[in-house]
Amino acid sequence: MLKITHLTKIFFKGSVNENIVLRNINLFISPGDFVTIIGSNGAGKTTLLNIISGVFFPDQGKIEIDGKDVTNLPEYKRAPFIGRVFQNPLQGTASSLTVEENLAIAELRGKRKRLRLAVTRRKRKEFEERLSLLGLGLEKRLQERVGLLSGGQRQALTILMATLAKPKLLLLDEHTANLDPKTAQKIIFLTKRVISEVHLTTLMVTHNMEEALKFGNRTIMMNEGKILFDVSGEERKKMSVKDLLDKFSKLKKEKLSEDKMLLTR
Amino acid sequence: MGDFILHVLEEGFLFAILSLGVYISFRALNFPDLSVDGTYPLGAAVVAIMILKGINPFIAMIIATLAGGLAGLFTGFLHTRLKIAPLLSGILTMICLYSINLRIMGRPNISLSPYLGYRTFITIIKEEANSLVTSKYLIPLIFLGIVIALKFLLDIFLHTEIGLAIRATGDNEEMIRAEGVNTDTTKLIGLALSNSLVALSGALFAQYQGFSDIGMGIGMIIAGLASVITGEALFRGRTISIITLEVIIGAIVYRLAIAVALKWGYNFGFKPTDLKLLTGLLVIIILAFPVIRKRMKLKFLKDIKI
Repeated sequence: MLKITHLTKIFFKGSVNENIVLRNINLFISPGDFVTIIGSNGAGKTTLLNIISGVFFPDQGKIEIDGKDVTNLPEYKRAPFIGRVFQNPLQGTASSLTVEENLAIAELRGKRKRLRLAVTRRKRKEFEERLSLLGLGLEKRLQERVGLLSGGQRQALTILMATLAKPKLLLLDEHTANLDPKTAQKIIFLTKRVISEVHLTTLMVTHNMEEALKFGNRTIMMNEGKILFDVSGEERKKMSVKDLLDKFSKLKKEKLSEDKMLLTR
Repeated sequence: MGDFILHVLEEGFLFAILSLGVYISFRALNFPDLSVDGTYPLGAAVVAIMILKGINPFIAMIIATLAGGLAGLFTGFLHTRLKIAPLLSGILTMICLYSINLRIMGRPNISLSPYLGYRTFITIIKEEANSLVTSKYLIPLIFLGIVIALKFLLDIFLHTEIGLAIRATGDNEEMIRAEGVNTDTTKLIGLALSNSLVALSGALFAQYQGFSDIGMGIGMIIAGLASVITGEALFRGRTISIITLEVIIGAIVYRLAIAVALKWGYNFGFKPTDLKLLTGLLVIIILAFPVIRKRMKLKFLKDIKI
């Protein structure tokens, strides 16, 4: 489904601020996988998602989606395959447009825009049905501007928008981080439901280790632009947050001692 | 007095077409496009030279509108392809158009006076209508019809798939790119449309006032912006059809303010040459309104939102 090989990204290349954000990342994700990604700030999680979706282009490496090389495809041309939900609830929707207009845009993702009315009666009915499944009462607010919705409502709308056009890949970038705990809980369960309904291949970045283990079938820990470890199957099922942290510090220490050896040699 | 009001309405209606164009670029697309100062006289120049050559004024107006659209595309090209900042792209188009407009007209101004025998769309309408009705309300009513028609067409356009993509580009560019829209294209379409309307407004105005002048575009962007924000200050509509109506009313109110200043301002030492200064001050006051309100804590003004 998603195949990433030898991916490297350097910001401010050649300047004093040069920053290697991703170092030779290799990642293969099978169809239907729900992968959670954890790692400290600056580990390269968001950059990885941004490169997959085409916001940035890599300095080295190759990205394939469903066997198609998309490495040099601009963001708007990758959009048909990729649905995204961002950390900032304001980022995924247009606030001066109405709920139904935002949904209409999402439904047309990757399709040619034409000179015909964007919201028809038939579409409005379809949106109404979809929104009522969220259980937030948004189906009664189709013609309100999105700017009037709360952060949680906007995020729920964004999830619906991200999945409306049936993407091959769903990218979630800490999409519950800016919400209050209760709303975050709601959104994460909503996410899970939507994903399992359509068996969507998903990458979810999260700060919450518990969440990372609870949801999905595979977990990746990133650190300093590298994939530190990658657990799935039985090993992951038995894992607790403590195991995760132990594994992290063990690998980190080994890595540190390796570096030390390099320096002292 | 009645004639004064009629005169204001006539000018206001023509001016509203420009304001709708400014609304598209400044508000819908969130692109501060200063090309307007060049595309407004461009429309006037094209229509004037074609009428001078005896071409049908309606065909001339279509060509003038297209010329405006082309100029808008040039601004868009500077910004999207050559990555020049929006403000600078507009200014560059404007300055290039100054020379181009002079080339088109071949001189700084062209008179289209009916006494010289030129047939503008206004003289044609008057000739055609002469046998039926002779009323001073005819011209303002026709102008009103044009504005209303353009408003409805624009309302519908902004609700189409392309229109939605343009509005979303002005609202949240990151989001609409993630939704698979090439924002370069939406900017080009929006700027072309905006400047077409501006050029059409210039073309109509040249025929209405009976001449085209190289300097008639100076400050038009600020005047257009003044109309848009006056409309927004007077009402607080959120749906597209209300907003476009606001813009039209804003344009009329603005023209009224200008006409009042010109008619009675001399009592206070105001001269016609002070017009641009007045417009500038008006826009400054409206834009500074939120700051002034905050500083002075004027409670009764709290409800007015800009």
